[in-house]
Amino acid sequence: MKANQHSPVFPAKEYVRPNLNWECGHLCKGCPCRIGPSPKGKCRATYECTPRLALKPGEVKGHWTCTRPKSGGGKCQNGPFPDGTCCNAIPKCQPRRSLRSIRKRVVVFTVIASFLILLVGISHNWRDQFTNPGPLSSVHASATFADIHALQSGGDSSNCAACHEGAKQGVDSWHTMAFDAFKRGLTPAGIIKKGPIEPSAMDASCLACHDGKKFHQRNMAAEFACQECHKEHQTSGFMPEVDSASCTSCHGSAELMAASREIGMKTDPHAFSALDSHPKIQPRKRPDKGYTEIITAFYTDHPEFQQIRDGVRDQSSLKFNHAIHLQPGNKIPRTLNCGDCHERDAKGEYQKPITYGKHCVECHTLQFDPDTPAENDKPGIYLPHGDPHYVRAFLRSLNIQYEEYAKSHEGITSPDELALYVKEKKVAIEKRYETGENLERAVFYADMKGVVPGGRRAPFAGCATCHDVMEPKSDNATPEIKKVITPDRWMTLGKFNHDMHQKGLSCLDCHHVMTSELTSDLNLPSIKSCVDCHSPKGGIDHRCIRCHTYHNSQPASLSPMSPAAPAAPVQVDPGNIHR
Amino acid sequence: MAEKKIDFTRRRFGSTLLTTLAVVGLLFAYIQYAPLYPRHAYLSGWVLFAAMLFLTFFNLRKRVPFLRLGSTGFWLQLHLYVGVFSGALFFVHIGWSWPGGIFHQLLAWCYVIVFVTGVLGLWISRAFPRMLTVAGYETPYERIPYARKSLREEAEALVLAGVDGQTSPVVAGFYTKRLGMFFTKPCNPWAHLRQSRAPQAAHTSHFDEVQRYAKKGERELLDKLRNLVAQKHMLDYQYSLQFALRLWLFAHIPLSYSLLVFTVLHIILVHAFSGYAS
Repeated sequence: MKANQHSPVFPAKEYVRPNLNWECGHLCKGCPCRIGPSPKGKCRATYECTPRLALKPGEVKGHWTCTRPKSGGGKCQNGPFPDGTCCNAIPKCQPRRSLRSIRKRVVVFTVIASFLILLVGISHNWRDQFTNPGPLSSVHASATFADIHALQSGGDSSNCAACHEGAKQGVDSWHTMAFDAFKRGLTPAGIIKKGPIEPSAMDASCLACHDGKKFHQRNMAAEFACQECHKEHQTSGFMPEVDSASCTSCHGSAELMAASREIGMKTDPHAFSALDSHPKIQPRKRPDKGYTEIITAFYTDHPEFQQIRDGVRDQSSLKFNHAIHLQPGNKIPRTLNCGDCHERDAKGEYQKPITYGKHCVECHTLQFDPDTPAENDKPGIYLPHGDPHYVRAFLRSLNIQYEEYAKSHEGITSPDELALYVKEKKVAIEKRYETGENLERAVFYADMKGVVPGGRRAPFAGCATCHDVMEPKSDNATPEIKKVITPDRWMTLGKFNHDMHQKGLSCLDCHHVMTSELTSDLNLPSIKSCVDCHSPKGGIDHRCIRCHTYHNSQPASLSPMSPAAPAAPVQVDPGNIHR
Repeated sequence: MAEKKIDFTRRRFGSTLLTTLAVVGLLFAYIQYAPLYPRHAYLSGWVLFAAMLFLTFFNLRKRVPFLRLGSTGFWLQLHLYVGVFSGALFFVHIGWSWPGGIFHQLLAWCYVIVFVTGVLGLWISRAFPRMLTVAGYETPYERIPYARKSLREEAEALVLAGVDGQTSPVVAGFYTKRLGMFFTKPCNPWAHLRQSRAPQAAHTSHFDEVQRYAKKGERELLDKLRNLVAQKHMLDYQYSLQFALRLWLFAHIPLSYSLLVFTVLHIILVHAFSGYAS
């Protein structure tokens, strides 16, 4: 804190003009001349006064008198020289610009410098680098891309011109183009318009190389620009992932969804998905109103997964009980883990198909003859798995099968010994089953406990343990076994990576299979299980693109080679939906 | 007088509240509605440009005093609050991510410097006058050279009076060595801006040192001289703060015009390159 003091004396009546552009060079010393510099900054200092000639009556020469004003010190002692010049010459100075004038000059200089920077920046050599609003993604910045574009545009290899019409034109046409854009899409009403960005001329540039922009769902109510989702000029690597806001700009809009619903109901259902016809993927029924629920975020109002919501059941003919296989204490050789049967594919996304030969045979051997078991270096004799016709053929050629087994595994080579071996085996079989027909029935129809319909018992579990075996339609025909079709995927609208979810979660956290006793149980997790983590609260990424892809593949019926199916109403049998 | 102060306080509170509400409303609208309005950057851009025009040509108000458009103080308040609002609008416009590219970075930096110098200027123009008033008196900036000259002449007269031509001129030597230049120009501007009393303490120390070798008559002289040095320090303090009050405008005003120039090109570019042009 400074102490209170009196102000130093200064000539309060001295008129100061801070608004003038120039000030006397002696001002800094506190003694500026009274006249000051000219408006152009020239020093006008001459003498302190202009002496006046006083002529008394009768005098011829007269005498010079000092005219210095009081503010300048009053009349001087020496007075003017005899020739009439003042004796006090004011020393010349170099006038200085006032602070205000310097500021004006700085403003002018800065504005000129700004224009110069712009002129250099938009000159031909620098234009692309200067006006580029951000780094191009690696693909669009590549030399290959420039070459492709040069081919298409007839020699212009400028990367900006590949997408922007403005870059193709000269700088002199920018203002007309800007005004044109202002009149067309970017009008005051246009910029406050709700909904996605409409396609523009820039989309044509995208579609020169890319294909398939237009196909998402056939009932889209609004066509929109590539840049709505794909934001260029953000990073030099890959383009940033599509933000959920791009999806919710349509899916969050009640008007657009209502319009989509309308269009969808008038469109041929076959035109919607390419996945329905895939043999290894569970076919799904498109909801009557399409996928037009209003969704603003995954964790708030995303509908329940369709399979859960619609109560879809697994229609597979295989008889499988998860609970028995997984719960310890059941009468099974060993308790299984999920991974014993469900093996991850190479990408770590989905499960590989389950096969008998790899996953079931360890426990479910097809050993119909307990007298020829597996021992040390002998594998034992087993029925083939797969085709009931082969099984039947195997049973009807038991003589040959036993003879082959004796040759390969028993080390019997003598014809007599072979005949004896086969005879012994046949006698044992006949003793147990009496007839070949009984043996066949036991093989096909025996259940887990070896009970064959009709009261007989078998020492093994037959085909009917796991399969749906039907009586043949004619006498002496092979029993029919319903083909087992297990879909590779149930939820086809979204993608999923099991490996990513294995970090910190076990299978049972999402799939509640410990109590599942029916094959028809899907055991898929509800959306609630997902939202627990995939939400702001859970802290895991919850963007739409984590699961969904915008650019669905186009159905074959819509390919240019084959005309679209006629828009006739399709009767969907609910019973056949999930086969 | 008291009523006027209450009125001013109320008005400032009201304006601050209004600006805060506008900024909060803007941020809320951005978070809530930006996904539904994908062209919102154009809208925020135009509003920002209008705000910039208003802010840049605030000075024009002073050029047309004959038009009854409200007091300059009112327009200054508007300038401040619109400036603060434009800051929030700027970040909404750039989508909370710093732009890339030479030109757009130039534009963004230009805005940031103008905004920051504006805030700095606001602080300076609020804090420094108070400091100057607290200091005891205020010498008009343009009068400071006169006051400095007056002090210098007074000091020189004192020193000359102490020279008798016989004894060792302790005071004259001290003045020539330590104070001659001090009285001719503004000194220690940064120290005064930092409210430091170090230069004053240094001079006090020098005076104490000389005092020991001075005779009785010279001591009285030194005391008077010490007083004049204190006044010169005060004058330098006035000079430093008042110069700073003018200096920030050297960055704020020129860059405001540069910003306008860059903005016009930016508007042309984003429209010409938008894909809507034929």
